[in-house]
Parts: sequence; structure tokens; C-alpha cells
Amino acid sequence: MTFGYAGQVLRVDLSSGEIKKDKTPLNLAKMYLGSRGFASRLLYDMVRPGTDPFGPKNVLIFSAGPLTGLLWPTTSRYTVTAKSPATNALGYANSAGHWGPELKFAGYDAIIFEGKAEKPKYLLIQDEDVQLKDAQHLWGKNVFETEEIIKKDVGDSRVKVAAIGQAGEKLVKFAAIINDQYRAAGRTGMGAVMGSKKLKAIAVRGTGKINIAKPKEFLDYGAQMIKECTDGKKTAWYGTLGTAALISSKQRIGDLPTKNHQSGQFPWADEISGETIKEKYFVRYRACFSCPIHCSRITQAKSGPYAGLRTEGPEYETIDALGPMCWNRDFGAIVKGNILCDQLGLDTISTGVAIAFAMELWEKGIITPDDTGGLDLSWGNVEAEIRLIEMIANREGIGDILAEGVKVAAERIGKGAERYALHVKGVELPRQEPRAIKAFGLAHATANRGADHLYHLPTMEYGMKEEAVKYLGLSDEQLSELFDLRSPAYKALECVFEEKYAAVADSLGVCKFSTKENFAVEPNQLARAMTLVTGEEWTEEQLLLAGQRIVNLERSFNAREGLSRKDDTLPRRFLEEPYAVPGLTPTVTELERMLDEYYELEGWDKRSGLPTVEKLKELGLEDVAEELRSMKII
Amino acid sequence: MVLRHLAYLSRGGRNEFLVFLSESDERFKICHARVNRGEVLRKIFAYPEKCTGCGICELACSMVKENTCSPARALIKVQTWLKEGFSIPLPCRQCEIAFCERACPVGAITRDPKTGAWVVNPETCIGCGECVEACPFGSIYLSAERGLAVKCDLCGGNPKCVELCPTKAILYQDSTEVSFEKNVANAERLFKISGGNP
Repeated sequence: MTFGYAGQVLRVDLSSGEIKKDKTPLNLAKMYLGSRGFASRLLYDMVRPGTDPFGPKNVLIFSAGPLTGLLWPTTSRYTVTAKSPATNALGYANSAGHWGPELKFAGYDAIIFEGKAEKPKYLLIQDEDVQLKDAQHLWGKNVFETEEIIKKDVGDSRVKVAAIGQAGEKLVKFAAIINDQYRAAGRTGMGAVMGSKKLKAIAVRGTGKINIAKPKEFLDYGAQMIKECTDGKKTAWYGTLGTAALISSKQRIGDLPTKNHQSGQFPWADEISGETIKEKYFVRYRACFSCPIHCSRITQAKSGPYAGLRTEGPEYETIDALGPMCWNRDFGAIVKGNILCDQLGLDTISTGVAIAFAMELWEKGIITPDDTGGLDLSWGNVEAEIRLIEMIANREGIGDILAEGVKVAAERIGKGAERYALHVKGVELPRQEPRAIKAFGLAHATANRGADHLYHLPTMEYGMKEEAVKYLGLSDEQLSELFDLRSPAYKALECVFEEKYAAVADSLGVCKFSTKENFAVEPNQLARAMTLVTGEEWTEEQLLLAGQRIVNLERSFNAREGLSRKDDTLPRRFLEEPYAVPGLTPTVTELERMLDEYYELEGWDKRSGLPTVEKLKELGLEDVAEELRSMKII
Repeated sequence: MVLRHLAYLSRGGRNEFLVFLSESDERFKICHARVNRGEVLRKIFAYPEKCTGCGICELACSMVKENTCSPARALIKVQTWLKEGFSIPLPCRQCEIAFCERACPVGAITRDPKTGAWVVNPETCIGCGECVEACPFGSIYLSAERGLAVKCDLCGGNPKCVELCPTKAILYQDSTEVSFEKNVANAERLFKISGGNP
């Protein structure tokens, strides 16, 4: 009997239509925990360097963690992993809702898709019964329609569906996979990989159970932690305003990226703030599986052309990307944009950044009505913004260029457009201002999947004294430097720890909103949970070591694809243009200094930014070290 | 036959009971005894407007009853409308006139004298499923592992689902509390309509 893990892995060859069920390799699980870590190892082993992300040799892995689906705070998460078409390197995206737990209840820890279907297919999993079904009638349909049709076809309203929309079918480089209608595995173009394999959806219904080694103790411990996350002050704020609470606090410190990062403050931030949304547009709270925090909200637009529209969210990242970034203050239009992205299967962050990029090119005269088919891309033109979302997903007109992501779009457009393309490694920048929050500057630059706020999710610098002392060992004097958001001091130290804990959370299948972000659940508590669940002794050190191993393995995958220190960089805007917000000293991101510190603390080679042979061996990655050395990469 | 029901009157902050029971009815002797002792009969009431659809109640139930995490094995269920973002928790109603109990041909379903919950005796149950057919709410089913009827027993008076519900969308209450809260809400509404000048 397996504990915690569901016990089986599904292998689906889309080219031949063959479906196999393997036992979950628990030796891998011991090294890489599950979910993200597990999939990273599989990707490293299965995808050779130089593989075409859209070719049949790329694999697409859906994986849940050992805690996914359990009675423990926020156990909703699963990871989708493949070689990314946006970065041509490691790609993965993480989503929640109810899909991941359902996969485990059906009896599977992961699904590995190989090959490429000739005609559109969807995978239907009903416990032991797994079939590849024809999806020609679903091709061209949006995510919501797809889900409805599948539920009708299957005759079970309880199946959970993860699907791509038109954007994934059309290989938009930032296409998302959407599950439970409003939850997105958004980043790095996993939806496009799914589209390239002609896989429209995965529908799962699971009526099984997950065994717990010590159920009585785990019930008590899980109940205790759920109560702490329900009432505790570390998580309380998410439960009132959700991530939209960040609008006001970020506005205050000049970290609300506006007009493609021309500014860090938005004059009408009040109109779209968490407080305003709660007061005017709030309908009710929603939560993902086993989540006591309920950061999600159903909201409804009340006025303007989009009055009456309802959505789950919008989340902070979406509000900023579709709002201030495009100089849009109309909450209704943000709701409309959010719904469109969910239906068409687009990552809201990249979509907003791509539109803001186009709007800045319009402002600078680099693109003109000739390029846009007459569409007026002036800042704040809400109708044009909404139209562009559809044009990107369907690859119409200029949308076809933007669908390549801002990096490739800038190369195609030329005329100095690359100066306004805000991406790292080909992934559009999430909604933090690297000049205002230096830790995020380093985080965006070094994250292995491209610009990423969740890879390190640095939060300790926001005055988390207890944690900074405990995990970073800083003195009072050093703490004040860490807490200076605009100083580069100790940000590398912070990131090196936080990326490990983030990797642990991702790989166990729990949300960072109960773990990495606020330490409501600390690493030693996750270790105790793992001990009770699996029946094998886990310590905090073992978990964090696994986190570090995962980070090193992911970097090794990228190294094999030719990435190195030169790719750990930020757009020139953040390195050269001093940042101007009234009342705050203009500054740029001191990236090189932080990078040197970061590599050193990682035990990596400073010149190449890559793991050393010794480091990899120390982490039990001897085979990886051997391969990289034989390829003369390290 | 007199309609058997309990009418609760709230007086002076203390619950008292008016009881209309058929004295000859064996089934209600337990209830009668409880009422004579002045105990309050509670059950789980749901407040769907507060439910976030997280399913912690289902997980808690399956852990308590089956030592496993399995919403399919939970005795409380949550139904969700995704597009509208709306969920309803569906606890066993612990009916006063319980169809499951009436349908049972072997008398396996009896009232727990402590809580008033209808409880399946696994020693007596034959797993015929007549209770499943009879229950109008889908709150009783046959265990996948054992084939015998399983239903909510209110965890002996301390239901874990209620204890862990993060938004208090399910509460273990006396029905007078539920109706009293609604009375107050309705009174406030009327007060608002009348502008304070009824």
C-alpha cells in the first residue's frame, strides 16, 4: 500500500493512442517529492537538449504532490511541465482549484503525455477507466464551452476539466491551461504545448481514496493547521480582500507597474483597489480545494459597457496587467478581459504585458495604424485592449505577432522595439517593479522558468523579522538593511532560502499562500505532515535539501539548453532608466552585485551562473554532473 | 394521528418545548425522554451564501469515518455550480420522520439517544439499499468497501465538518437558533423598509 501518493502514473502516447499505467517511482519521489520536482526530473530524463517544444519529442506532464488532496491547508495544487515554447528551456505552470486532487482520487500522481495526436483528442479518466476520446467537436471551442460539452457527453457534472482554448490551439506562446473554469496553469505557454499535441482537454472523475500512514494523528494535526490558517493573522488579509489588497499597498511604495513600467504608481489606483472591489463589486468568497484562506472572490461589474459581467477574481496580477499597465481604470473592462483570457485560454500576465508593449510602441510611433489594421492603441483605449485579447488568441492581424510573446514580437517589429519588451528569458514580467523591490529584481532575473514572481516569492524583506532571524540568521542591524526594499543588501541571501521553500511547496502540492509567502505553515510542520502521511521520517532539512536539489536540477536542464548567466538578466528599462515616482529617490536595479552574491551563496560558478560538479554531487545529482561535464557545459 | 413535531419556544433566553407526540409511538419515546430532560435537539444546518466550496467538510468526514482522504466517501456533500461560483453543503437532515429508518426492513437504523442522530448499526444492516432509495436527500449510501449503509451520525455530538468549516457555512444548531437569526434579519429588513416608522 502506498501512503500519500496515489500510487500510479499514467503514460499516454498520443501518437499511437497507447495508454499505460505504471507504478509511481517512489524512489524519485523521495528525491524530488512530487509535482514540480518529480516532473522536473522526468523532463530532464525524457527531453533531450534542442528538442522542438512543439514537436512530438516534447513531453507534457501533469503532476500532483504527495499532499495534494489531503486534509491539510491549501492542498489543491498541481503542476504542468514541458519544455517551454516561450523560453526554449524549462517550462512549468502551477494551478489549483479542484482538478489536481481529483486526479489523485482517480488513482494517479501524474500523467505523462508523449507524441502528438493526428486529430484532436481529449483524455477521459474515470477512476481505473482511461480513454482517449475524439475531440474534433471541441476544437475551436472556448474553455467554458469545452467543459460544458464534455460534462454533457460524459453525463457526469462532477468531472473536473482542464482544457485549452483557442489560444492553445493556435500555439500562442503564452497560452494557458485552464481548469475548473477560473484556475490557470498560466505561465510559460503550457497551453500551447498541449495545443501542439492536439490534446484539447483532460477530464477527470475520481472516487477513490488516498491512504494515510497515521490517520488519527494526521487528522488532529491537519485540523490544527487548518484552524491556524482560518483564524491566524498570517493569512487573515487574503480572506478579506484577496490578492487585490496589494493594489493599495503597492501603490504606496511605488510598486504598482503602470504604462509598461513607465511609472510605479497609477493615478486611479483607488478605483480598482481591493477595498473598492470589496465595497462595490464583491459577490462572495470562493476557495480552492481544502483551503481555509479563501483568497478568491466572485465579483461583478456594476457599470459601463461590461456591467453585469461576473468572474472569479480578478487577482492582483491580472488587475495590474490589464489595468494600470494599459492605463485602464475601468474595473468592468478588467473583468471582461479576465473572462476572455479564461475562455480563450491565455495567461493574463503575459497578455496584459503584450498589450502594454504594443501601446508603448504606438506611443513611440514604432507601430502605426498600418500595422494595427486601424486599431487605435492609445493608452487607456479599453475597447482596443479587449479587441487585442481576441486578436492574440486567434492570431489575427497584429495579434499574430504579439502571440509570439514580446521577445520575439520585438525582434520581428525591430526599430528599437526590444527596449519596450519586458521579459526575462522570453517570459513576460510579472507585476512587480524591480526598481522598487530589489528582491524581485533578482528573483525575476534568476528564476529558471523566466521572469517569475513565484519562483522565489521573496517576502521576508517586508518586515518578517521572526522568519528572517530564524532562516537567514540575520542580526538586528542586518535586518534593517534587509527590510529596506530599495536596497540590494541581503536580497540574494533571502532568495536562496526562499526558492528552496517555494520548490518544496510546489513539489508537495500545497499553495504558497499558506507556506512560502507568509510562513503560516513552516517547513518543519510540512515535514511532520509528510512523516504522518507517508509513514517515513521526514525532517525540515531533508525537505529543504530536496528543494535545493530541484532548483539545481532545473538549472541543469536549462544549462543543457545553452542558458547561463547571460540569460539571468532584466530588461534594460530596469537597469538603465532611473525609476521616477514622486517622493522616492530615482534608482535602477543593482543586478550584477546581487547576481554575484546569489551564485556564490548557491555554490555555483559565478562566471557561468551554473551549478558546479561538486555542488551537483553534493545534492545527489551525480548523473547530471557527469552529463553536463561530458558535454563540457560545466 | 397528531402530527408529530416539536415546536420550540424561545423564552427568557432559555429553550422550552411544546411537545406534540403520539404517546403510543415507540419511535419517539427517546425523543420524548430527551425533551422531558430539557435537552436541545441539534442538527447541522447549512448557509450556502457563506460556502466557498473548499470541501474541507468532506475531507474531515472521510478522515473521521474512513481514516482516509476521499470526498466520495464523505457523509456530507458539497455541490458546486462553477460558472456562478456557488456551492451548497448538503448535510444529512436527521429527519424527525426519517424515511431511511422507516424503509429499513431489519431495524438497523435507530436514534442515538445522546444526539438524536439516526445511526446505522453495522451488526444489523444487511446492505439491501432500501434506505438509499427512500432518502429524499441522497444522504445515505452503501459503503464502497463494506457494502453496508453509511450515514452521518453527527460524530456523537461534535461533528468534525462543522468544527473545521473555515467560514461557518455549516453549523451544529438547534433549529430555533436558525429561525431566530432569520427572524432578526427579516425584522431588520422590515425596519429598513418602514424607515423606522412602522
